[in-house]
Amino acid sequence: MYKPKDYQHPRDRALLGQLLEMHAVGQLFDWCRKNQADRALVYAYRASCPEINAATLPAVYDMVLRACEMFETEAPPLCFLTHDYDARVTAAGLFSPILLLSDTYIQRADEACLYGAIAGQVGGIALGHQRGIGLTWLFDNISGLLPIPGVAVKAAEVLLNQWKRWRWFSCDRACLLATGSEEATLRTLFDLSVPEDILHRMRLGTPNDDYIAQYHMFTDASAASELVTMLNSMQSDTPWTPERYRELRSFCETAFASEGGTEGEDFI
Amino acid sequence: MPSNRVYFRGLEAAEFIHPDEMNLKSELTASKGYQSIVSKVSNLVTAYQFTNRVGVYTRLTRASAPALFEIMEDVLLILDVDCVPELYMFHSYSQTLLPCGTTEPYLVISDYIAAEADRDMLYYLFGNAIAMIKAGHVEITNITSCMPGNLWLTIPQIAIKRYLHIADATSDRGGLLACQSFSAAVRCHFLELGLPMDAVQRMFQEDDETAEYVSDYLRRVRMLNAEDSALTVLAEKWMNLNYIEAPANRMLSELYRWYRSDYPRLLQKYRNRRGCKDV
Repeated sequence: MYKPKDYQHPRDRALLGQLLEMHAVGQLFDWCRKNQADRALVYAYRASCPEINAATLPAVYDMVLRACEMFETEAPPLCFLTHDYDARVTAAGLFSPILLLSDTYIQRADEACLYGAIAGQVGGIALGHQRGIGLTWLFDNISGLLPIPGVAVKAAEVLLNQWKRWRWFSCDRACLLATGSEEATLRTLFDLSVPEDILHRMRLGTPNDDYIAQYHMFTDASAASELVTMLNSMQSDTPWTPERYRELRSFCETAFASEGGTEGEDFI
Repeated sequence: MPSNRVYFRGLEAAEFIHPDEMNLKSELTASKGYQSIVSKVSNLVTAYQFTNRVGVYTRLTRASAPALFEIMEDVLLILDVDCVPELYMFHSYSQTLLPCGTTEPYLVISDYIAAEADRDMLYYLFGNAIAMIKAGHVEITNITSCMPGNLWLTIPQIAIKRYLHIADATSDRGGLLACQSFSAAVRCHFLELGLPMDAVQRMFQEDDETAEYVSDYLRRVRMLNAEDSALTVLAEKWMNLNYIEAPANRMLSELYRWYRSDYPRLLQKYRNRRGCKDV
């Protein structure tokens, strides 16, 4: 069984803490509770997506239960199947966590990667990630109705965008702990981008890892490219693949060595 | 797969380039406005595309994607292109195999088309992309795709788009030279137009039957356009002003015309040329 301190990235912890401590966010959550925003979200998903449970997709649901046991979540999240070519497994919800699994990914991923992707997001749910993700939903969809001033929304969005990039490092670490395999976890970084035969030949995590050269291209970028990457990062809610690759390999080397694992470099 | 592929040793871009492209390109490259835009923007575009190229796409190697590299390298030989561009893959449910970059082009292919296209289609798609490199219009395509909508850039953008629409015809010709299968070229066109993969595989297997189908299809398109010629003209003007790619039926029509005229002559010329290599 894993506790948050075993895998949560320190920046994920710090930024999420700052976000949830903002007075405006507290007001917003009170308003959401009063207006049952949580129930509305669950209703929306129930109305539009098939639920994944022991009756509908037992093998997949079993993976969710195993992951929940591993990360000691209070209860299994509600799970829904989405039709989304571009997604894997995503946490959603606000106070009650929801797990969204893409039908394409379930068919495409091998068992180890699917379990790892599920475990990564369940690990995030155990850290309270759904609250940050729920905030994103609120700001994207009903910002005009929110009871907090626009300037407070903007301040929260800046912090939120930084956090959304760092949370993936915690999820990747959770995936590694759940699968126990660096190679399988590294594969989850690419299994939606390249077909299985190419993925297999990339020999990820081995001394002949095909991705290392590209990783060095990223870290050896020109000053202009670095600047553009920094600017692009402000508009992206996922870290760049070389960043996830570096964090994961670094965590693999020092896993369990210190409280919270490694700090990692500041990417932004 | 054709039983013999002709290798066009010594092929010049001028031998397959659309004649209108040559004229437009000369006008464009000679203009001071174009030179000024390219010199200022080229390095910026390279830096701008860096994040996607290295941070999002996955670079393929001969070790990880031997089948794709085999086809790409064969197409480079067929079209007599010296450089070997880098090849990247990204996740997309699209028929994408494009050259990107400016002074040092690289190729980007979608995982969908790499897995779904048959061998001849991949020859066509690689040929299409590599012909853009050979004909020298990768830089301008990528710069145009990054140009913002801006009143001051309207006139140069219109001129560039006009050029790019004709350049699409050249790329298609390069694709046909690479695969040497009109049915494969048409499979790619109709897949992009929206027919499902199993339908295009079923409908377009033999070159002669495919050519007959395309001829009839284009005749029906012309009849439909003639029913409301004013609207057709307006729509074409709109597409010319706003789209980087030429309208699909126009591209198919250009390719069909060339397939019936200069393509067989070019093929025969290189078959007869001393030292040409047939597979």
